[in-house]
Amino acid sequence: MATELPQDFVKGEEQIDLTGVSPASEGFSDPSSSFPKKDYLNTSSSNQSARGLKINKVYTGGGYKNISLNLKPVQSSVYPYNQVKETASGHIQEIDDTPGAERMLFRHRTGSGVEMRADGTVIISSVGNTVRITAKDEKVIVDGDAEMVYNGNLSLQVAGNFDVVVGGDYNVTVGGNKNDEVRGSHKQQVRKTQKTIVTEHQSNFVGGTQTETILGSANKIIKGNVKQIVEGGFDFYSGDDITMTAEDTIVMSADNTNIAANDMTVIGASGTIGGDNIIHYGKSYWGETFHGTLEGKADEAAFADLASGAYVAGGLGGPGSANYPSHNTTATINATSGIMNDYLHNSGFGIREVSVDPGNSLLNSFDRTEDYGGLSNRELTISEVRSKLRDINALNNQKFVGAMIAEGKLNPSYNQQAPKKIGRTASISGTPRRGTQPLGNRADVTKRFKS
Amino acid sequence: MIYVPDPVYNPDNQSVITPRTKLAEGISMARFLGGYGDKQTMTHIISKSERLSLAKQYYLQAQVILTVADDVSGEFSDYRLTVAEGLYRPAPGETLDVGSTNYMMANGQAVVYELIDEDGNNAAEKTFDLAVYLKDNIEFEKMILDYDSYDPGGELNAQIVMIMPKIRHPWAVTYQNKIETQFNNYVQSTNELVEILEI
Repeated sequence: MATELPQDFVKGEEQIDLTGVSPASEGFSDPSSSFPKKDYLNTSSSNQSARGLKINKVYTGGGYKNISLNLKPVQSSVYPYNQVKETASGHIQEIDDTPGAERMLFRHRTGSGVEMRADGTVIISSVGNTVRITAKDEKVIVDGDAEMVYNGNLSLQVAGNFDVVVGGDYNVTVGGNKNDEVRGSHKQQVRKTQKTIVTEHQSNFVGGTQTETILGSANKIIKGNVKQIVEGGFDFYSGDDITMTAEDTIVMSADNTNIAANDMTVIGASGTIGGDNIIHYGKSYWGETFHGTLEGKADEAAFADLASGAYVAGGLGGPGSANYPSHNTTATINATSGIMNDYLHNSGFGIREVSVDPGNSLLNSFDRTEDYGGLSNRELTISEVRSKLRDINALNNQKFVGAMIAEGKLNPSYNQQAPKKIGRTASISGTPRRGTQPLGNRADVTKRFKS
Repeated sequence: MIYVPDPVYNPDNQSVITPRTKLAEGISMARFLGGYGDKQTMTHIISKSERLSLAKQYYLQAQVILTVADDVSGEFSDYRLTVAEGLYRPAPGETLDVGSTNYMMANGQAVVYELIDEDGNNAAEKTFDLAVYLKDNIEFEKMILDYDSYDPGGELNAQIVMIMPKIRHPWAVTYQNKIETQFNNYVQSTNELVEILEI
């Protein structure tokens, strides 16, 4: 008579009637009626893995795109080198001494477990969750390379300091946004060059003072407009020359403007200089017409001095002498239209013609929107190209397709309409499958969605 | 039919929908945002209702992953089912063809899966087996066994595009269970899966 065992222990197992065969309670047969399993009926009771008929492995689930697990194939065991212990529910323990295929396995019925392969590789696998707790310190040393993939989210909390020391390059690629919050100070020291490329916009907000000290030169090249709005004072000093030209207009206005120089030239082919209450000082004025009141003596007025001896009536007196006021007749260059045109467009003081990134070739070098037919503003991976091409509009975008082929990210045969060779086919009706029916020792699984 | 989701993971029961929102045990929204083929975030989706709708569509997609994980035959135990392309966000100015795969990836209806072997390579041959398995074990609106020769190295690439029906409020779905095989976006067969061996 079979001993009564917990229901789940024998659930799903084939029942074999051992009544009257042997007294199970005395160990002559399996009291749970779990053995022999269906795979062992009428065959040797030695485990199939021990006989090399079956290879048990822990779950690996494959690698990741372009990340290999670098696992070598597992060889079958040779009897009697493999000591196998398999329980009723399917837990397996193997210690395999097969020459050249020495291996150890400790596997849960679900596929979780630890496996040590012939080459010393250790596989720790979990089909469910993994919880690892270290109450004190932990050291991890990897002498080779490591690759980690998290298909979900990853949170890292460090109560103390987080020190990262990288001997080579430190590359971070963020698909979405990157948010840094530094509650203390932030110091960045770059020993060589620093380059920042922002395809769209950049904003900086500084609540206090911003100081930028440049010990070399600074060049700011701007294709669009610049607006600098300063509520307070604006000091602009140069230890050398300042050159300011505009192809159109310069406007400078202030309630009080001071322009001073030891040697000053203010010229224009036309325009206005002066105002209602402007006082002019100078040595010499060159012009055509003066309007208003002049103080002093003009050249023609000096001739009136010749009449100084004619004051005695009846006789001709001797003539006086013309008394000219002294004046400077030094001339510079009169700013005629022709001279001003030459000055403004041909001289070293003339207007600079400004053209920044004509044809947008510099912009297009990092904003690829134009080159990629509007489908992306950055360089794409081969997988991303594949993703884009799922849309017929992208597939017909010759600019995009041409750029991708040119960059070696798309095979020129992308438009091949049919393959050279096909294999199996499967119709929409159910497919008979051998050896995959859920019989015997299996986890309880229900099909999803099936109503 | 009315689909009955697990109340623990039902997005309707979540206060906010974020990449951390769980859709099944061990599967969060992030799984469908971080496809290696086109990584995206949800930051451009501000509307709560849009996020909820996306989460519900991805809830159905999570069942695809679970269905493969639950395969008792062990046929796929040495392969990894990865989300190659999840949420699709068109570039500014990019116009998507209505009804295209990318259009449906933009609203969460479609997800592109890829089977990777232990060496990190596309498992083209096994992908056919997976498509057959999914055809027999799960319901969907349309499943496309998608092959292409886009790889510059000339290698055949196989993926599965799983399109789930648009969920009507609250959880009404209509499954069409259509299957199709494509090569370089050209339809090779409808109502039949065809394995492509050589390009």
